[in-house]
This record gives sequence, C-alpha cells and structure tokens, in this order.
Amino acid sequence: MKRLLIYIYLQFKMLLRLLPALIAGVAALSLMAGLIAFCGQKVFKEQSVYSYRIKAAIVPDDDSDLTDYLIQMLESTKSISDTCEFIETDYDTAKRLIRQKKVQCALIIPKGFTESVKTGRNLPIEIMFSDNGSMITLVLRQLSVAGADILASAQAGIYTQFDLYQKYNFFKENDEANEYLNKTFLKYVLQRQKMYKRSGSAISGSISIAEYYKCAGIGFVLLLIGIACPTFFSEENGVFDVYSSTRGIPYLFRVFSKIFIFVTICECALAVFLTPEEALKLLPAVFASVSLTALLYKLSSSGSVGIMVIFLLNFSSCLLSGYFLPKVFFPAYLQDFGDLLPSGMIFNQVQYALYDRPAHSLQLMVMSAILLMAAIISDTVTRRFS
Amino acid sequence: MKQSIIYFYLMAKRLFKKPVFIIFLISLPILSVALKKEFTVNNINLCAGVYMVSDDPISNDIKNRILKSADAIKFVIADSEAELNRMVATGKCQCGYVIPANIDTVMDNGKARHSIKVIPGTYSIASITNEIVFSAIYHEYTLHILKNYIDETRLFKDYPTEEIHNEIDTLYDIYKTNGSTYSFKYTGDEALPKDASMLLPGYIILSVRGLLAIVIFASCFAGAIQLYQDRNNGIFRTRFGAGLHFAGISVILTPTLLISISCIAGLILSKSVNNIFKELFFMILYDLILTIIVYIFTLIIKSRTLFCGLLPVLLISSLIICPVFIDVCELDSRFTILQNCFPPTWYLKIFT
Repeated sequence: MKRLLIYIYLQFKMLLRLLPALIAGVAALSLMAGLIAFCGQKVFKEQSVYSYRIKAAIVPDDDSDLTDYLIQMLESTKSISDTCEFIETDYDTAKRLIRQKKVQCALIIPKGFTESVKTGRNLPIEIMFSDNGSMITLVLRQLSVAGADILASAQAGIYTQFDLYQKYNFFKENDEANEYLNKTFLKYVLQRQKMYKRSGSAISGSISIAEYYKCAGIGFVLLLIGIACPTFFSEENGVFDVYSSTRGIPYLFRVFSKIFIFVTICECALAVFLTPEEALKLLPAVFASVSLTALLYKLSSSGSVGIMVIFLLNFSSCLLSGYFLPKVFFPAYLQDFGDLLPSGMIFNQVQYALYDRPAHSLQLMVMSAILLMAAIISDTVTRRFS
Repeated sequence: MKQSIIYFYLMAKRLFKKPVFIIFLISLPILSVALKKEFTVNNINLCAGVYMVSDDPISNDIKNRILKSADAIKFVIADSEAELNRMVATGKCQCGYVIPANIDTVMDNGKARHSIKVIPGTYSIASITNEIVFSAIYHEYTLHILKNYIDETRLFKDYPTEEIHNEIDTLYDIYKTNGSTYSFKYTGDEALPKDASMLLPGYIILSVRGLLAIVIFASCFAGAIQLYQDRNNGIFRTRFGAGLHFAGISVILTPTLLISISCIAGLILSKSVNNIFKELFFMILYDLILTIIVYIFTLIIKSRTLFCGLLPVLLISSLIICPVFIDVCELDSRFTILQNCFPPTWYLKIFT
C-alpha cells in the first residue's frame, strides 16, 4: 500500500513539474478559443438592414392634422425606420433632391388625402424613385405594398359588409356592423407586432452565440491540453516497467493512477474558473478527453508524433462537431456523425454542465471506458511485441 | 552549387518515396478547384422562410398569399421546423416564421399574442417581413371576421350560409382587385436593381489562395520536423558552417517548394491567377522568407517536442488571424499588428 501511495505521489510530482507547460498550454489554447469565439460572435451576430437605410423625402401636401399623425406613425414604425430616413420638404425640393440623387425616393401625400380615405375615394400616395435606387428601395416598395394591402383588406371588408347589407335590405343595421368591424379590424392591426415571438438563434439553438462558443472553447481546451504534457503519458522505459512490476505496482494501477491524477488536476482547475457544481458535471467530459489523449499517445511512436496525432485528429473532429462553425451548416448526416465523435459528446456534456442542455453523460462515460481499454490493450500489445 | 543541387534532389527523392506526399500533391489542385466553387459568394438574396405547421385551408391560403407577395424579399416554404432552422442558420434565409395551425381559431380565442415564432438569422429583415407576413394573414382573417360576424348577427338566417359566404368571398376579391381600395402609386421603379450584394459583409473572404498559403506554411513546419530528425540521424555529419545551414534550409525548402508548385497549379486551375510571372515570383519569395524564418525557429527551439507543441498554436492562429476565411481587422482594427506578424498575411496582402 505504501509503495502504491508513493507511486501516486511521484506521478503527482511529475505532473506538477509539467505545470508551467500545462499553464502555458491552457493559456495559448484559451487565447485561440477566445479568438474563435470573438470571430464567431461577430460573424453570426444579428445585423440589421438599418445600416443600409436610404434617405426619402416626404411631401405632406395635405394640411390636415391626420397627415401629421400619419407621418409620425410612419417614422415610428420599426419596419419603416429600419429602411429609410425621412426628410420633410415641399414638392419642388423633393423633385430636385430626386434629380440630384440626394434622396432615393420621395413620398408625396396629395392634398385631400385623409378626406379621401374617409369618403372612400382613396387618393393614392405617390412614391417617386430616383434612378440611383438600391435593393433597399425595392424593399421599401415591397413594404409599402404590404402596408397598402393591410389597409385595403380592412376597406374591402367594410365595403363588402356595406354592399351585402344594402343588397339584402339590412341597411338599418349598417352603422352597428360598421362600428364593430372597424374596431375589430383596427384592433388586430395595432396589435400585429405582438403576434410575433423571437426564438433562440437558429445557429446556436436555445443558448446565445457567446454561450455556444464558450462551451466550444472549454471543449477545445480539454481536447488539446494533452499536447502540453507528452512526457506524462509516454511509455516508461522497460527497466522501470520491470522494477514496478516486481515491487507490487501493477501496470493497470500505473495507468489508472496517471488518469486519476490528470483528471483531478483538470477538475481542480475547472472548479477555479467555473462553479464546483459545473466542474463536477464536466467530469465525464474530462475523463473522456484524458482517455482519448492517453490512447493517442499510446498509439504514437514518440511524444512529438503523439502531439501531431492529437492535434490533427482532435482538430478535425472539433471541426466536424461544430466547435468552429456551428453544426447546422453541415448536412444532416455529418451533423449526426459529429455528435457520435468524442469531441461531439464532450461538447454536448459541456453545454449540459453550463446551460442544462440535454446530454448523454452515461454514453460519454462508456465511450471513455472504451477509449481507456483501447489504450491499455494497445500498450500491452506493443510491450509484448517489443 | 553541385552539392546543393544534389541535396535538393536527395530531399525530393525522399519525399516522393512517401505515397501520402504524392497523394497530397495531386489532391491540392483538385481541392482548389472544388473549393473555389464553394467559396464564390458574389450575391445574396433576401429571403424569408415560412413553415406552416398544418395544411388546413386557411394555412394554405396564407401560404399562397405569402409566396405571391415576393418581390425584393422572396419567401420559401420549409417542410419542417428543423429545415427552416437550417435554412436560416446557413444564411439561405435571413429569417424564418413558424405559423401555427388554424391561426384563425387561435386569433378568435384571443391567443394571437406570441403565436408566430420568428427565427432570427444573422441578417435581420424581420421588422420588414413581419409586415409582409401579417398582410397575408390579415387578408384571410378580415374575411374570416366578416363571415363570423354575419353568422353571429343571424340577420341572414333565412339564407343558405354557404351562399352568403360565397357572396362575401366574391365581393371581397372584387374590392381588393378593382382599384377601389387603397394602394400606392409608383413612378420610376422600373429599373431598380435587385442585386443585394451590397449586404455582403466586407469581412468575409473565403479565399482559396489564403487556404493554400496556410498549407505552404504547414508544409514548411513539416520540413522543420524532418530537419530535427535529420540532425539526430547524422546525415549532416560532413557539413560545417554555412554548408550545414544551407543543408538544413534545403530540408525545409524542398517540401515547401514542391507543395508550392502544386498550389500554383491549383490557383491556375481555379482561375485565381491574373499574372503568372507575378504569381511565381511572389510564391518563391514567400517560400524563401518562410523557410528562413522557420529555420531560425529550429535554431532557437532545440527541442523537437516543444516545436511540435507550438505547431498547433501557430497553425490554428494563422487560420483565424490571417485573411483566409474572414478578415479579423475588419471586425476589429486592433488585430492589424497581430495579423501582420504572420507570414501568410504578407503574401496575401500582395494580392488584395
């Protein structure tokens, strides 16, 4: 028992000697993860067409108060304020601005407009476009068609009711019907924006882009941290092998103690940066990444080769598992494949630990056990044949 | 001079004995052509996706009306919410809508609030498409309100309901299409451009040349790893002083030059080359500068393991910082100094 404890102590000391390399590795990987997160957030950040909004002249030829109210309503409606910036002016100035291409369009509210809407004459608002219009001008046109269609639907409803009542001689009830329909139609128009509910991002699901890349960063560091300590996982020389075996320190104990020590150090480091509860939930992910690292070092002929193998394999699997570009960009079969890889399972586990997203911790533990067994078997086979 | 040529020949011969290297050399031009097609993004279309949860009559009418309203912003119908999510995430659509089943009943029951799910994309046109989607829903719903009111008043109880409803439909359609309801008058809109490429963000690069520059960078490092091995196996036993340095440089330069030839072929095949002589000159210059820098690294860093440990950091950083996929300087100008520290940037800036 004493020998076993001394062995663990010595392995722990060996890992502590590698601590500067580990810290440097974590720092470098964290910087890279931070850079990826920064770029991801900027690239996938929601942008608005507001940056491209056009200048539009508005000419209120109608003097009524309702016209002022209409202009205020237009300027305060988000869909319109996202598309254009109004400059109130007169007709001649508007035409000049159009000619000089200082505005991309002009809205001319004709004299008697509000009266015409009340009486059903419906004088149209003219929208003049300059010939230096952009895509946004077309968008504005489409938006105006939609707006006109909304008003036209309400008008068509009222006119239809009027005609129907007149045809079937129920004209006495017309005012009551008119009032009800006007009130109801207007109610839904005024409440239209409340019908919509924004869901989470299509790219990152129910978590934000920043949270997504935070999880990706933690998984990335966990998968690649093994690069900083090749000597810890490399084979002990044959003499020490025989010495340990004859002194009652079995091979399996040596392997498991290394794994245990590395996992413990990783968990302690995670508990510092995250909460203890989150660090505990990350245990399957840490165990998986350490098992994978151990396996890849056992399969490699030297530490340098091991570093390259870990880098190439884990980098490719991180790519497939959506660490850099969210998986939703890949075809469905690649998404499923990415989820099956250790990197995919580790990513899901990190999201579970931090944001309670669904994960399969048991499957991850089973995979870790398989990877560890594979490392032990490959090492045993190599030693037997050498 | 003769010995130098012999060294290059021997290094190249050693490389060509590795089938992986030959496969890599051949696949680079093919990958360049394939990637050029994928990376060509010269236009984006404004598009919103719509998923109708069910195919009840009102949903079908709304769907058809939304599709008909396409102009600058097009609408695409998705078969499932997952497909809609994918279309929005990949940028095929700038936003998506999930319209619930029997929306008329939903609105009648006072549950219209938050009934339509909006999936935002990276480019939000939702404030505009909200109005367009609503106009399609409203067209159908005003008809529904009218019919319900007529049924509830019982004024028309002596007439067949279907006949009255058909009459309502007919009159409603007439009034919507005969110009008696409200519309705008447009002048000068005949020649407005439909090109939305101005909305393409400036920081997206997706450059085949950038990727090839990183491949050459990586091949230089691969040569350096071989150099560490050669220093230990005694093949430079007979070389001293400048000759030794030259031999070391040739170990790094040989794979770099060979990969560069393959990259030039890739650039030519993907039609990314304007002036072949300029291309060759700057490629060779890039290879030489890269080789010398990496060789100096190998003199400073004595440990092969440490050098291998630095490799992933340098490669991943160069993929992010150098203008290969995105230009980080467009995202934040403070990255300019860092970007200029990476040799692939020097090469890529010549061609931008």
